[in-house]
Amino acid sequence: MKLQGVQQTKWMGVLVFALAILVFPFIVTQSFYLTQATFAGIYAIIAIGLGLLMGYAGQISLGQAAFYGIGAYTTSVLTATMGWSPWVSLPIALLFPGLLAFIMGYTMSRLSGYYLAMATLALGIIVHTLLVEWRGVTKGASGFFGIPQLNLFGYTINQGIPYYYLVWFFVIIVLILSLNIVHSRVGRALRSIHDSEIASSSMGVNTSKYKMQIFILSAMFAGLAGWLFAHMSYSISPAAFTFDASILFLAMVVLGGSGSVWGALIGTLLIRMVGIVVHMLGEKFPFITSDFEHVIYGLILMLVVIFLPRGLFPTVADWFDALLTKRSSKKSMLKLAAKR
Amino acid sequence: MRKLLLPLLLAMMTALFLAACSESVEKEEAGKAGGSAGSGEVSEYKIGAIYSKTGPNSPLGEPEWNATKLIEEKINSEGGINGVPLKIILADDESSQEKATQEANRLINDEKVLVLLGSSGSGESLAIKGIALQQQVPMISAAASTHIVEPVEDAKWVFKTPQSDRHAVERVYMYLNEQGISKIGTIIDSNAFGSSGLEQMEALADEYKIEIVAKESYNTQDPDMSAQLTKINGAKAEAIVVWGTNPGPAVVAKNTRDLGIDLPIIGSHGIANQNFITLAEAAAEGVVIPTGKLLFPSQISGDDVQFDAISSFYKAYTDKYSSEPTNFGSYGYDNIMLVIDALKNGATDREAIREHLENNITNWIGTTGVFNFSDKDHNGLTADSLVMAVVKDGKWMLLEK
Repeated sequence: MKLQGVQQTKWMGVLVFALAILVFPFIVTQSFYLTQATFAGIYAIIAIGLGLLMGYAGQISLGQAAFYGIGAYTTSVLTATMGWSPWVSLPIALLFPGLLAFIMGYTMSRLSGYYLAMATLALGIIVHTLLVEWRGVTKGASGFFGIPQLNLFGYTINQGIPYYYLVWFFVIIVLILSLNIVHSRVGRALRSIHDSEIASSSMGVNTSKYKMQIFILSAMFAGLAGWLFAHMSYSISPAAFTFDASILFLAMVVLGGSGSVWGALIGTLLIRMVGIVVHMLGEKFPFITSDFEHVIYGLILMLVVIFLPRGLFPTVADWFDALLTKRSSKKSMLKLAAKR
Repeated sequence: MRKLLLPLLLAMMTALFLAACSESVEKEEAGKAGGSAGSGEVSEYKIGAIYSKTGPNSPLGEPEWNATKLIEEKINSEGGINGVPLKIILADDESSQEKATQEANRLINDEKVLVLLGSSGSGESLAIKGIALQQQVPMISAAASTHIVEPVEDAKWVFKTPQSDRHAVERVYMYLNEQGISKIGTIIDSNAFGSSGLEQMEALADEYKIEIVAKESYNTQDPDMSAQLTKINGAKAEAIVVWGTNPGPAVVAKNTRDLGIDLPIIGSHGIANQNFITLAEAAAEGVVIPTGKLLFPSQISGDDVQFDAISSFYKAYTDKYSSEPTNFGSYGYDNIMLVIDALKNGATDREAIREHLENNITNWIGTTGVFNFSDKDHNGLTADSLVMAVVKDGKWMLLEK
């Protein structure tokens, strides 16, 4: 039975999406696009987490790259320095960012407004400095190296098609998990917080608890992305976990639409496409350098915030819905007319 | 207006993306028609080169890029290698590890190159190293860090031509021993270059009986370092060793002289360029650094075994480009020349090129130094390939022993 106003996970969408991922490497055989798609998957995990935090808990994090970095460095140190198996270090790489988010969230969740944004901004800078300066552990600015590859049933997961499937396997898990959260009691509570914190707390929703939980979840997603990133590369450096990266994640969510799990995913893919297009144009016209990417991101953000404040995905979805209903209403009118 | 904007935006994005894709498809087809180094008739030798032409590492990447292009044109105008033309696919990693990873995957799997050259920075080189090892493609890096080729057991497919920071530190310590200086204060850039310099200075200090009495650092763009320098002076250091690339060391030199500190300043090979002198102005006088010989080709004596290689490369480079090749140009030159040496000697697949580099490069004269690769050393240089230079009357001069 379907309750009115209760949204349910549309499994059809997930299925179609999973199929698209499955066939992508057979249609696009170039390694360059496959690497791009693998990175897109890693970023999508972070963006989905951030999307939950922004769209459902109404909080902004400017330090997602810090959790991403902690996840990556945790597993790097555990596997390369201490000789653990990457599969054993996976839970730890999720736990550390989650724990840090818990400590921050514990104090922050009682506050409303932009305190979390400010605190996470500071966190991002602190973590980056730590990665650069704590040379004994992180090997400093030149980067950590010698990170072992992943092994599954005696099969080494190399960069390319195997790693692409691994990353997107995790993306689908994160996607299903997030869709279920959104469409559960917790999700409804979170949406109520986003719309009006005062109203929801007076209705008996423990707002600070839910806000904190979702913040921890988003940090753990970022940690997972960090784990995937570290074992894909032989070497990682603090340069990948800067404030710029946090802003890029934010741009992905805002572009796609923060009020929707799918939005964050689509936003990530679109931002990556912009990067590819700039790269292609750069090969043709030497004056187009990577700086153009930032100009275009800025322009997109501006246009989206002004014209599509809900983001691209919800707007497009509504637009399609409207189109479909218009057509079907026309049909029913015709039918009605025919009957007469 | 609003209603129109969204479809317009979407249409624009799709159009751009499709245009980009179709373009690459065309390229791929062209590549197929050209025929890569497959079985049967070999129509060209494909080599991939990733250098940081843009981004923070561009002062390194630009000369490397230019030198590579220069050699490609020269070889092809002379009829190629044993009659087969050379095709070098240059890619810019924009000084980012992520881009370096993408380009390396593209060059290896899409372009099917025989060898990878690059990249300019240590972080990017380490990122490419991972892929080169996975895919078993020989690579020759142009970056400083020792870790790119050490330990050699974990760097089977990886070589590099620039002197390691270890060599530069050894050369500085040899100079300090000659001067009878044993207590130094170090001030480093907190970036990759500076921190790996400090790592080597600490590791080699005992061997050369050098005591580091003060360790300071700064961020690349800091405008003033007086506080750190006062500390070093207070720690009774006999010399200041500054490890960084421009503009930091120039600020250090200026601040030191402004404070009236009369200690000798020793820099790194990171400031082996005219730009340092321009930035530090009069304070540059007397600053001493270790450097490759390409900094002053006219001062290298005719007896030097490298004389021919250095002077002919320098002339060709300055004839074509309006800038100096700097030491970085010499890394780019040596990288491609090593590959050409392998190809000329019949090593025309990935495995054979690696074997050739490891076993057959002995007393090979390049512009950076004289190389001796072996299964124990994939850098193949000694500290002797560096000379000491001093600023005199606004110019880098060779410091005679």
